[in-house]
Amino acid sequence: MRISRTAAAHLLLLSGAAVTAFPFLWMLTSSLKSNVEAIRFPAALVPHDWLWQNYARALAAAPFSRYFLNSLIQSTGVAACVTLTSALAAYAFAFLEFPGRRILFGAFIATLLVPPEITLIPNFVVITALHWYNTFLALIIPMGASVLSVFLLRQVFLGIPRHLWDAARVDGCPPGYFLRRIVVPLSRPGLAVVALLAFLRAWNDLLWPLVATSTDNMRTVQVGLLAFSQNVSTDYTLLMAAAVMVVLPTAGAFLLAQRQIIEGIGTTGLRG
Amino acid sequence: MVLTGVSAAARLRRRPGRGRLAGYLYLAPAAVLLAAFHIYPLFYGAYVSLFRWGLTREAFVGLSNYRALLHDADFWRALLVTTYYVIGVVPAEIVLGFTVAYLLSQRIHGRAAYRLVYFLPYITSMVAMGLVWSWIFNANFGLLNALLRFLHLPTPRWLLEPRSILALLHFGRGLFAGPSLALVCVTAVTIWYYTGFHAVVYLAGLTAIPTEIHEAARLDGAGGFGLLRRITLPLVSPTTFFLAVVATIGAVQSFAIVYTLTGGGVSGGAEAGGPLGTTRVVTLFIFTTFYTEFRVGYATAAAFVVFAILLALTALQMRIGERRVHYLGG
Repeated sequence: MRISRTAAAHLLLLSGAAVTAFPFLWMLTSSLKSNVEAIRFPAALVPHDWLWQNYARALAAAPFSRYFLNSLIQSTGVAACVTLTSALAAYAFAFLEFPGRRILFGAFIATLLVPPEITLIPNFVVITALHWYNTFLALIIPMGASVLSVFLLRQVFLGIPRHLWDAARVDGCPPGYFLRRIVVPLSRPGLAVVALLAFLRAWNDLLWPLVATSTDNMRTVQVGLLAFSQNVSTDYTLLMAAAVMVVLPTAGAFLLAQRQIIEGIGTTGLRG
Repeated sequence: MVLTGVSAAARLRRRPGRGRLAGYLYLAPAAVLLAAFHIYPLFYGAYVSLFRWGLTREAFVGLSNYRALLHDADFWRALLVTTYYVIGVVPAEIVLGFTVAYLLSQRIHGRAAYRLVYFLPYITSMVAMGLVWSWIFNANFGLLNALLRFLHLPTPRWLLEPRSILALLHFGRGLFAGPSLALVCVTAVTIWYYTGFHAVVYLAGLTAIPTEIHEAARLDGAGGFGLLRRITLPLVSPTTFFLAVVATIGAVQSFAIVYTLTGGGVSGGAEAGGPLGTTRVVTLFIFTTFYTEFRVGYATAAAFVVFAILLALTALQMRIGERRVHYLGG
């Protein structure tokens, strides 16, 4: 009885996992097939010949190296910006005392209510007025602060024993010194999760880069991949090779730090 | 560095404003960015929505944009499409997410591996996975129709099919016949994308339930479905409530998935929001009005209407939640 229940649970979970994983497998194997083999049925899960040159052809068919560079600059910039601004704000909320702290924290949380479709168009007007259109400033600065990251880091910082702060204060330790020497070293995993999540969010974003840039030179990987898909029409193997390359950095980062990322998302309920 | 308590206290007394000022300074970078790109747009957007605004500000029109929206059949259809989409996506994500989390919480082998696989879509690019799915759904070269042809079954046009599923099965017709087959496909891919996220949040909620509660219930003779229905579900109801709110907001805001599957993807010459506008959700309506037609004021007004609906919906969910949610020790 007990065994059959476990078996049933595994059966359910395995079939769900198969459906979840299948598009990834299909993308990977198709990226290595020939165009003829890619649409043959019954389809093979392992390619007949492993055509690694599909990747080289995809890279040559569109300026993907430029897209990757753009996305790397954007996502790294956003991650750095978000981590810095969030750590500073979270530090203020967790340790420092100043009038209006509770109200300001409430105001921070309240900005979560303003949805992206409201901010999209005014932000576009603003970056155009600032002459940021088609620049990295437009891609990075508007995404440079994240309330959920402030919230997550505040929780992390609140876990630091209070007596360390009291002792440092009695010793006359300035706030900046305490942040650099005590808080940051003790919160490395939390800071890494915030940076990684910000990187993933920026890397996978489509709407804002689509709106904030127009030249091929400034395209990020998502915009570039979409444009590429409209040009290659039925050359699916090239498209899958390009898709694999776009997914690979985030999947790699996820596999490296999956426990921390999953727990970070599980506890804050970030939904991209 | 080490000072005596007395002199430190004296230092603190001498500079009382220092700590306070520091607080504001540390907040400033985040606060400035949030104010500039999250708060200011709210007010500026409200202002823009009162103008006829193309490439630049043209003329003050008061509430005309809002009045025009009321009579815009395209906008109403976008709201209807979004409603179908939300109704299709939210309950399925919650039920599937809970099922996966519940099964994983039963001390099952390979839990970490399962969790990894289910979560994988959520961290990958919607554009990339949307392209993979749109090829799978492709009417001529897609895997799905290849399989159906192989089995000698009819091959629908999936993402290119504007007729509703009910019409295809020969009941119901017209606008209220239900979502188009294309929208059903988009809904399915959205569920595929988000189920792992829901499972992970549920798993966090389930592991937070003290094991003594389940043990006590078991001693009292509860088991199987009774335990699930009477104990587990009520205890995770805060998570369910949270996920329902978050998933509804997220579904109304969906853009990349719909855009990629219906327009950018390899669906063969389709345009975003197609076929025949049956997948044109409100975000897509706002985007095309703004980006393709360059009616900036009108698009902003539409965004505010959606925002108002979303706020009302969230407030409604909160009221229902107050009555139905059970908090531990609350």
